[in-house]
Amino acid sequence: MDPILLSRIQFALTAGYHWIFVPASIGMAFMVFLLWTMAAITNEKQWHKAAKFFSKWLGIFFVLGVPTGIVMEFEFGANWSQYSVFVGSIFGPPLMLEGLFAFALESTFLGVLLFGMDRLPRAITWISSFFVFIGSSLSGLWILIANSWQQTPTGYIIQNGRAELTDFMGAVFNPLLVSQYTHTINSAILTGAYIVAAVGAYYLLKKRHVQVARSAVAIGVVVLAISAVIQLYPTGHAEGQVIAKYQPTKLAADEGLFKTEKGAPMIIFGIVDEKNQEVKAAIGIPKLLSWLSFGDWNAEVMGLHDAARYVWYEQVLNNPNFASEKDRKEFIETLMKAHGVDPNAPDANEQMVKVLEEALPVAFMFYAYRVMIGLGTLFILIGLIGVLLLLLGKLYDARWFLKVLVVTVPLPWLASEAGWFTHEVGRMPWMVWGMVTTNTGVSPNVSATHVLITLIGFVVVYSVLFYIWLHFVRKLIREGPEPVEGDVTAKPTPAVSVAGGGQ
Amino acid sequence: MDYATAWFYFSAFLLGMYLAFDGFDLGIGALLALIKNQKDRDILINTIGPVWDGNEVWFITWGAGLFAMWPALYATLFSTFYLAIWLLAFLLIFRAVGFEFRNKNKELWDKLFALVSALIPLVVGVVVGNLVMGIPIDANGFHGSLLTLFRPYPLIVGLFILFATIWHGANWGVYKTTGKLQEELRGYAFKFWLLTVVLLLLTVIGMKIWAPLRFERLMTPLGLGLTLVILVAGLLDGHLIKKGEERLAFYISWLAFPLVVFLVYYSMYPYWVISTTDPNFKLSIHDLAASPLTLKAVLGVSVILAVIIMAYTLYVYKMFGGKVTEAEGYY
Repeated sequence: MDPILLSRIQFALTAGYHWIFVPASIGMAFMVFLLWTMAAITNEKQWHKAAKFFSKWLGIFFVLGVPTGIVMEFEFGANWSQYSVFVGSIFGPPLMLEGLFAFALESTFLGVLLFGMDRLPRAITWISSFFVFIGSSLSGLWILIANSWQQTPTGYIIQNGRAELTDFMGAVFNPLLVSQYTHTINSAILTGAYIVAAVGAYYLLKKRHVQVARSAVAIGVVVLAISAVIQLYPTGHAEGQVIAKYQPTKLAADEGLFKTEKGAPMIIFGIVDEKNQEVKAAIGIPKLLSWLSFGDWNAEVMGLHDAARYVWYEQVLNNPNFASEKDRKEFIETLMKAHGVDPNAPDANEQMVKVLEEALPVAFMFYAYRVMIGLGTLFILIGLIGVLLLLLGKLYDARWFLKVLVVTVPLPWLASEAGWFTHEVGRMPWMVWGMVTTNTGVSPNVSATHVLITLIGFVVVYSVLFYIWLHFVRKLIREGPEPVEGDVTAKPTPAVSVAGGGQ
Repeated sequence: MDYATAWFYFSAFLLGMYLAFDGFDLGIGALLALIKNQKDRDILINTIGPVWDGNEVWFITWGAGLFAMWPALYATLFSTFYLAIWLLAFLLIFRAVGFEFRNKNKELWDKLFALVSALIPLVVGVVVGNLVMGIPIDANGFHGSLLTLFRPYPLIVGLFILFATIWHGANWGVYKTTGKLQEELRGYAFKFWLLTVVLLLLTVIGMKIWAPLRFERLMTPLGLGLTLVILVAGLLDGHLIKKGEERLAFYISWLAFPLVVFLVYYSMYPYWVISTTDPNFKLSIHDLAASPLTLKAVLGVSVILAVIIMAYTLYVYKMFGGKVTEAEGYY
């Protein structure tokens, strides 16, 4: 068995699993802050109860987000030790600052929020919810600084067989950071809003906790509508433009573009035939891709092969960030050898272009990308219908719409995972663009057997965790928020506690 | 002081804070195995409920600090001790989850939780013990197996850290509870204090036998002075526990961890890794350090942030100050 493949599977599994809880906790942190703010402004009971109820939801997302995040930190050293040595001094600092800047704030004040909301003054609860939101979004910022740097690295030099920092701020504000950060955080907010709206809709359909549920659905659809639009424009559009400029192979694979085209169309749907290098039965909008990517209807968009050539010759061989010719030569030789290419072969460069080209599973990315875009469009539609119904005063009685909200609640996760897949698979074989591939980043001294053992461990442990987690989501839904006085629909259920030693 | 040295001692500070803060909640976790009454166990959990999450931050930051400032060390340690590292990760996952979800089946979860809470400080101690003792490594790489990690000396260090966290946890428990439970915990505090002192002595003596290079550093005036301070403070604690000076007793066990970690780091300086098979093979904190700008760029801001975190953490502890008598949760 291949330890590289196993390590990749393990990384994909653990990161993908972590990614279930991250957008949900960041988004829920925003919604909880919003709900506590509404409670403070209106001083109405239903807002207060809703805020308390969804704070508990935040708690159960956070509980799984943290340890699955620690796993990622371990993984860099354990499974990808060569990668860690190569970029650790640039990739490590953001992780450390995340802990100090953000995670400390978030976890400390989440404790205050959850344990204090019954016994501490309201003002402290409100400010705690603010700190939790700030903490979680700063946490996302530092992680995405690290991630976006891997996609579009800047502020470094290659010497002594590793990447060394030359400009801290230059590395932080790499080309992709702003668009990737806003796009990701906004998607998290969308997810949080969706959950709040769907939970509220569920109670309205069941005619339980009606007052709290109305507040939840109303605020949920408003935030959903706004964030869904922002997701498309400006954040999604901006990220697409950066990728077109810096990661042309990713763009080509996302769009199923095998051949370079001027005035390339945006394909809405089609069937990818990787063998014959074409997209069959494609339905597309002419010239749209060129315009979206470069702001010019007739701009040339590189097909996969040309893009791979461009990456190899322009971004790798001509990378200006080598300390010396010797560093450049050593680097290129190591890279070639790791991919089974003889550096002295006359066609060594063309072989490497082929390596880059073949690393991308075009069909997979093409479909994943369309899932993301398609769902994004659907969210705009659902959000706008929700707001329209709210303005017409029909939102709480439109049972069909409430049902739609409940049934579609897993979709934001599906969209996030699809987006994450296109983003991360799209940089293959690079772990760090132009610098470290999976072959040069893997731990040389870890055997396939060991990775297999831990991989099986993860599958078992994560399955159990997911089951338990679902169990508590169900329990939380069954118990519902605390009853609002005078709300006859809020039948008081016996307060069976979920955790923390309640009686 | 050069930047690598400054980072080395800042790393000691982070590990010290981790053991001082998370130490007592790990200790409380392990004590669940010894406390029979269900309601008492709930009270104990509630004494740490609001704060344990924040306590773990120090561990993550310590790990990320190693990664950022000594990437080669981080990569070597983690890939060499692959299975042990993942064991630790799985323990941390179970602990976080067990905490929140223990109400599903309290009898079972509490046992699991206690086991996991005890294993974490043990494994952390074993890792530190290996750094102190050195490992069979040379220019060709590591020559050993998973079992190499669990040699007698690292195990002694592991047990020392384990007993110290339980002593610390019991001190916290005495500080936060009343009545019969408090009395019971006082008994454990004393017992585990005794075990800790014995293991501390064994750790120091073992150093002379198994890690002579480190022991030499220990026998310098600063090393010796600090060792004595720790011993005296430690000895004093037993007396304070007996006398019922619970607040002071807790402060002392709290302070013991950063002091011990500082001492351990001091004894290792400047070598992160020494070989047990090739006396000439040593890797110093300078050999393994990240590029100079990285060391420089992040140090100041990290120190300032650590101070800010300390400030708001203490504020939060004050907010949840006082005795815990009720077994109530937030869900």
